[in-house]
This record gives sequence, structure tokens and C-alpha cells, in this order.
Amino acid sequence: MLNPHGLSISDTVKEIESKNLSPVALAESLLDRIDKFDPELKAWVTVDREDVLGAAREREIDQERGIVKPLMGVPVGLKDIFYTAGMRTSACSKIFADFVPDYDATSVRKLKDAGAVIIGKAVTTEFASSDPSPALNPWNLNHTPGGSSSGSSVAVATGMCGAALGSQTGGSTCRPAAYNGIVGLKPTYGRISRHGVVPLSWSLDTVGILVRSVEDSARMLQVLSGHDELDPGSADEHVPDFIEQMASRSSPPVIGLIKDFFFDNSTKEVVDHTESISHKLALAGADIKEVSLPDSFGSSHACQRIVSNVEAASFHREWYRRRADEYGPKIRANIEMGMLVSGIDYLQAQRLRRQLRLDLIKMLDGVDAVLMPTTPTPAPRDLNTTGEAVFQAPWTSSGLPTITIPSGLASNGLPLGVQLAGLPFREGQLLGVARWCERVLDVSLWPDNYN
Amino acid sequence: MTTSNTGDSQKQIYENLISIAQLHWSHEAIEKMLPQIIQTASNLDQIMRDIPESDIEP
Repeated sequence: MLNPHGLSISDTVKEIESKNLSPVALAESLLDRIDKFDPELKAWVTVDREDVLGAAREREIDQERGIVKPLMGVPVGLKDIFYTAGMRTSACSKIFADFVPDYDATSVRKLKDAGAVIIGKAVTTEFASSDPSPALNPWNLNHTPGGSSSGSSVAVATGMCGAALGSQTGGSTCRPAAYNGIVGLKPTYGRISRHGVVPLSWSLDTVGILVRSVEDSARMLQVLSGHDELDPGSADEHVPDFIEQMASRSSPPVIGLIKDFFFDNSTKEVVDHTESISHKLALAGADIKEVSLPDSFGSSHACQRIVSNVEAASFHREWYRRRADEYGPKIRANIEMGMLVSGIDYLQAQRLRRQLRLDLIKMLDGVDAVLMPTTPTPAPRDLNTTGEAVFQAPWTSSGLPTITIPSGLASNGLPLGVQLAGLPFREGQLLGVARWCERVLDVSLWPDNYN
Repeated sequence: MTTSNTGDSQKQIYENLISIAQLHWSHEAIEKMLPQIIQTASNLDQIMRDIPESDIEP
């Protein structure tokens, strides 16, 4: 008897293609899990059962006709900032409370074209900023699930969908992924179109992928990547075969371990854990070299905050002028601070970001990827915060791709992860290293109460 | 740059931010924003100190 919620993307597609699994039965099984778990976990804003089953029935017709698609029948959740034609896209805000787009985001269209079944809209922090969402961490309901892609991460961690889209402006994909014990991929800035995604900060926003394995992240990236003229930040870069590139790594990688800043700002438990992971990888044959951060890293957090605040202020300016009281306190403060920054200071921050990108690329010379803890602590026991984005912000700011994989449990039973970063537009290489590490570590986490 | 110079420049930035804030909001509203304004001044000070000497463009 198949356990459909535990299947990887490739196994789901394989089982559907071989007619061992019906897309409708799979969708029904996940909808039942949502009915069962979501009253407690609050991961979803909108789930339209009929809509989901209608899409699943279409996939069943494809299945009967023998049509093959890369995400055939795979149930995917969307952070509630992705436009969905005819379905409310609220960004979990009062400002967009009744907004129903009349078109799909480019990424949503690509998912549908690839055969995915959109299972619903997942909870986000308001406008993908820092005011906590109602979603709860399935590993311990008293701890934050992180943010801003909180619902997407919780849904994947508990098998309510096979994959989900999130976004990252500071640390909003990899941080909640680590807090919930799953894989999070933030590709290179510009790799995935943001057309039809509610912006927070145009020059930082990156579509993120939340899944249960590195291979699944490669399969999602393959479908989602590509230039889009409708997104001014979209890169006109060749899209390679990520799955082939990932699979082509058979030899142990050269990994740069970054201790400064990341170890200085982590708890002893996280430092010891990351050291032990590094040791395990070395025992399996990886060449671990300690690498040092460039000087420009020092102002990376300041630049990320200034740019993010100014661009958020620019996007929200008119709504803020008329409806300031309808914003949550944290995003409101960000908008207000953005209003104070001069054009000169904003541009200096952007110049520093460019410098950081060049310096980090130089730092990666001679290694296949760099390794660090994903978060300074496991998910904090505090529902008034979404945790710390400081270990992601420099990578988002520089636009380099990162991936987090689960690496074990902390003494309090919450998940820990390690983060890998690589060169821009070399996600295939990064995924190869990540999958090699995933196989060596052999860690797969399910929260007990939601198995 | 010495510590006192750093403190002076941050104070200057903070005062500039307060001046701009006064164009937007009431005294009471600004009082509530002070922690964020101090943080923003600190971020801007950090950026000012790290501006690259090269002619790198944004």
C-alpha cells in the first residue's frame, strides 16, 4: 500500500506514469491530511477542494492518455504572494485582503504546464516581511516555524503537499526550511521569474523552493527556471539540465567551511553540530578547507536592510499614505525607515552589494561550495518572532544561490540544518554537492505527531 | 576611523534622520520609532564607513 504523502517528486511521477497511483487519490489523500492537521498548524490561507480535485482529474485524463510531464500530478503549495487566476492572493495582509488576480504568476503557469496540481495558498507573514504568521512549528507548537515562507515550510514538513514555493528577501526560504527539517533552495537572483509575485524588495526578492530532498529541489528548479521578459530582474541565462549536473557529481567535493561570523553568532550546540557535520563529510572523503569572509561582508546586513526598507517603502507608498494603520507593526516600521533614507545612501548600499558579490565569487575560487550552519539556533521558542535571518541575508544580498539540508536534531528535539552556497547560475554544481552531503549525512526528518 | 569618530558620524546620521522624520510624522509618532531610527542610523553609518574606493557601479 502506497503512502502517497511520503513520496518524493520523482517517485510520485513514476507511480502516476506507471498507473500505480491516481492523481485524484493522491490529491484526496493530501486534502484529508490538510483537514486533519491544519486546524492546529494553520499553514493554509486558501484551499479550494473542488478546484484541486478538478485539476487532479485533468491529470488523470493525461495519465490515461499516457502523457508524460515532469511534475505530473505532484501537489504543490504556493506562498500567498503568488498570483493565481481567480483565486484570492492576499499576501496575508489587510491591504490585499480581497485581491483576486486575473492571471497566474509565470512560476505558477510553469508549474501547471508541467503537470503540477496546485493544492492551495500557504500562509505567509504579512507581505513576506517580519510580522509573524499564525502558522505553528510542527516539531513543537510553542516554537516559531520561521518566516516568511512559514506555511509553505510547515506544509511540506508535514506532508500536506509534495513541494511548495516560497520567496527570500532576507532569509525567508532557507531559515523556515531549517526550522522545519526540510530542504530549502534559494536559486541565483534572476533565475526564476517573479512576474506575478507580490514584491517586498525588487532587487532582493528571489523565488524559493521548499521540498523534502535535494533531488526534488532540482526537479522543481528545472521546471521554474528561465528568462521572462515580464520580470525586469529575470536573467537571460542558459538553463542547463540541473538533474544531470547534480547527478554527475560522484567524487567527494571540495568544501569551504566558513567559521567567522557564522560560528561567532551561533550557540555552542550549533557550532558543535556543524563541526561534527564537517567531520563526517571529511571522513567520507570531502576536502574541507576553512575559508575567510571578505571585508565587504561586514556591511552586508546593513545594506540588505537599507535596500529592503527603501524598496518596500517605494512599493507601499500610496497604500501606506492612506491605510498605515492596517499594516502590522514590523512591516510598518520597515516602510517608515525606508522613507527616511536618502537616494545617495540607497545607491551606496547597492554599490556595496555589487562589491560583496564580486568578493564572494572570489572567495569561492578553489572550492565547490561553502558550508555553514543555516541558523544560529534551532527555531526559537517565541511566537512573536520569525527567528534570525542573519545567516541568509548576505547570500540574498549578493544574489548567490544557497541550499539548506536537514542535518539532525538539537537537544530540544527541533531540527537543525546546514547551508551551502555556490557560484551564481551554477546551481547544478551546488545541487551536486548538496546531494553528495545529503547522502553522506542520511538525515530525513518527520515530526512524530504528523507522520 | 577612531571609535569617537564613528560615534560622531552615527550621531550626525541619526540627527539627519530625525530631521527627515519630522517632515513626515508628529513628535509622538517619532518617539515610538526611535529604536528603529537608531538601528537605521547604525546601518547607514556602517555603509558610509565601507563605501568602496573603486568606481564600482550599483
